[in-house]
Amino acid sequence: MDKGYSELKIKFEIILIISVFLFAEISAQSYDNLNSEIFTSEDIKSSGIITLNDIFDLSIRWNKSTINGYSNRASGNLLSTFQRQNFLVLVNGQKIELNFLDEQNLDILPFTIDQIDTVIFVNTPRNYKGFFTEKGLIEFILITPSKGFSISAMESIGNKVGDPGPYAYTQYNTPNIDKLGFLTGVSVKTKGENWSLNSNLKYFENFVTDGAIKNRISLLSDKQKERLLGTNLDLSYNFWGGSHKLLFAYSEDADFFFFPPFGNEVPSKRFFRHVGFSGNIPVSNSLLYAYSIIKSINDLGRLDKENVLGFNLKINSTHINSSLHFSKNNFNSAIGINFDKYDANKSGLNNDLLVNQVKLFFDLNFNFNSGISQFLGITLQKSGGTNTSKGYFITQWNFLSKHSLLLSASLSARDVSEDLNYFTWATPESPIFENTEIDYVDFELNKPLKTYTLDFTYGFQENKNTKFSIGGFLRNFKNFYIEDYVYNFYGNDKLLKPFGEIAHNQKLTAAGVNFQAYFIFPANITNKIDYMYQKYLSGTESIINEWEKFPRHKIVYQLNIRPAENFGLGLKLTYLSETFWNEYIYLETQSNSFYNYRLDEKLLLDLSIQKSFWQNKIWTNILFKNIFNQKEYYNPIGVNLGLRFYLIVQLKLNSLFN
Amino acid sequence: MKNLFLLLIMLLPPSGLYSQNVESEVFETITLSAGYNKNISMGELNKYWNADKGASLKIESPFYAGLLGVGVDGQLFTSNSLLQPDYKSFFIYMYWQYQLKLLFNTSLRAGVKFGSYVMIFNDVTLSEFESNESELGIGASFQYDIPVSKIFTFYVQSDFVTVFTMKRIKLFNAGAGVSYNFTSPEWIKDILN
Repeated sequence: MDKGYSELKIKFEIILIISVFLFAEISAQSYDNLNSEIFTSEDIKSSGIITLNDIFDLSIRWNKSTINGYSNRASGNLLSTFQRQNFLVLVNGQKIELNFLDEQNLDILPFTIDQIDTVIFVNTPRNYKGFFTEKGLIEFILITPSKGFSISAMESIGNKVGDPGPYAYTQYNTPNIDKLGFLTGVSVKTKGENWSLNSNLKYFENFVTDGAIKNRISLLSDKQKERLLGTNLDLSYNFWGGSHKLLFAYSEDADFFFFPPFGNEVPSKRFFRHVGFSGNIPVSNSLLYAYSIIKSINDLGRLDKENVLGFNLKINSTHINSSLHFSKNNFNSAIGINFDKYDANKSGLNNDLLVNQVKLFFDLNFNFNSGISQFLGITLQKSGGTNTSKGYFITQWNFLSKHSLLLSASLSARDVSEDLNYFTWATPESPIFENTEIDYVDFELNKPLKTYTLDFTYGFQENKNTKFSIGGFLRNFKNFYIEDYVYNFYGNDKLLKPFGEIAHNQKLTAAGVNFQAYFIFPANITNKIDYMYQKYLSGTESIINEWEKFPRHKIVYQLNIRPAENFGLGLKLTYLSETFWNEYIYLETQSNSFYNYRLDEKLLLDLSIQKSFWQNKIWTNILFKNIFNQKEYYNPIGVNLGLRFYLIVQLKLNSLFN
Repeated sequence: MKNLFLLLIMLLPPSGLYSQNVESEVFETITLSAGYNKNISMGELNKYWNADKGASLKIESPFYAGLLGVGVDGQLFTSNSLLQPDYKSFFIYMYWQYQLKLLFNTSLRAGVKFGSYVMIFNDVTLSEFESNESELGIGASFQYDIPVSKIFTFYVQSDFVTVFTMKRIKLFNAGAGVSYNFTSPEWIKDILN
């Protein structure tokens, strides 16, 4: 354990001791919203969300970057850069192994947004349902089936403006833009006395039409279409006094996988399979046993057998989680152990590569009379032969009935083997992908990656319709590794080629503030204002370059008008300040500014018109995004989303034949 | 313009304009309309095409402070030269209009319409998929209604529509037609609510 890490640990312990002495009176109060954001199905409907990947737009604290316009790289509450995609994804409490070579395409999940009851964003590191949320977490809670038999469906079609139209036959001809975002979902549910069954089918198509990516993809593949098919079956059963869940999921995604060490999209086909069994059994009135056994297979291969370019990597993973939860009066605690085994199989390799992880976690929660709740947890982990530890401490104080203060601190050390990315699996003897000249990385000498976080929030709530909060945060990263590339045109002025290396021992300190207000004024009109400011304070060059990809200012104003129960209008105004993507700095000159390393600030206005029919069985939404038709890039070499409109129809027929 | 304003003032009923289509009237009646429609101007594109025959179909119902409806306008365009193919356009849209009651039971309406402007080019060099194109269209619409019986109304209308192609198409259309009005059956009201 190095000196810096010891110092951070001492600071953490001091905060803990001071807080315990300051607040020593016990009360009966419990909290379930510790730096988390909870969005309901109504929030999703009114926010102009179409696909699961749009979910990041719900929270101002999550940043996203996209090249193809639908799959994203995300950063949860500035807990990581866009390079690492280690935020956790849960569906009904089961961990889903979506992260594959640092991409988490949420749309691989085989359900559509109309099947979501609640989305929970955990924005600071803590133990959540037995998982340490070091880089944030998103949990989808799906709709519980109604008694009897239910059918629901969703359809979304979209169009982006800018086609040539009849001008194609004149001197004003421009390239065709075509349609986007064709999405279909069907769900069948049934529920008995103490069981329920839920199955979903999802199909999604997207067209590669934007010149920014078509230039590259047309040279790499004959196909110009991304296609995703997914299905799942979810069986819940109550027995032994507890609830138990069996979840099967299967998805296949024919896609163009942007691979940074190659610099271009790789035509790929990904298969995802998940089988999970989880549940809980009450041992006594105050003791609960929870468990989960999960098997996942992630397989990334070639889009077509004829394709020269492609991946050949299959990762089988097994996860066994077991925990005991004690709850009595004002005290809650949990202890648990998790085993994770990742088994990578590559062609040309006689033996599989293995990463085993063992995690032991311990959680404590005291609720005091004075309105104070304290949470403390630690996770001890062994991954890839390295021991690391992660811990957090949260104090929440509710006072004078309307006011609250929240202080959250965490310290985590992470072994590089936990990232389970390209650098974990690729070796010179057996590469995952041969068309890259980026060096393989020897992490033998690398020290654990450390993250220290501090967040505080003051909240005021007059009533459930009038509330605001203001807060601040600090992030400190040490010993990070960064892919430090610079991209240039290669050969034909269309394909890109990265030059560079992996920068080690990167460190950064960043801080920021955020503000949120929610109120109803005038009657039937809800207003929500979010603001976030962040800035790096110090750091090394490579990680600072990554940090410059986050906007310094983000403002979102949402207004929802509901003149009638079955009719609503929504307006969303988003401001994002400029960002800098230094890896493309030379490309700007080489492409005559077709690609720009600086993404300008943007002001985006979305309008949605929602109407329900047939006693809320049918819900329609006409959605206009980016009405000002601003340049809407989330990556300099990605698509310009621009003004687009969608028609979304949802059908819900509940409790049929009941 | 001054005379037109005076005429409108004179046509206003003594009570002046008033809010209508209160909640109890929502979807109470349904109006079906069919008419002749013609493009008067399409800006730059007039150099290359002439507007030929056109027709419009609409269905609408009272909706809070106005009338909510859906419709389709079809129009043929004939090319001026061999370099451009003829094409058909179908504007499939939704609209909302505010209705101002005037004297003699007539009324004037103004509102917005938006939808998908579909163009089908008679270009044999393209596949069926490629020869169809659709684009967002948004515009303002006006209509003057003259009732001829309890259930039939004669109307004249005009609209200005912008189609969001890369170089915008600016359309000015005018037309006339007949509307048929009836009380909504309960099952239709159930669906619409």
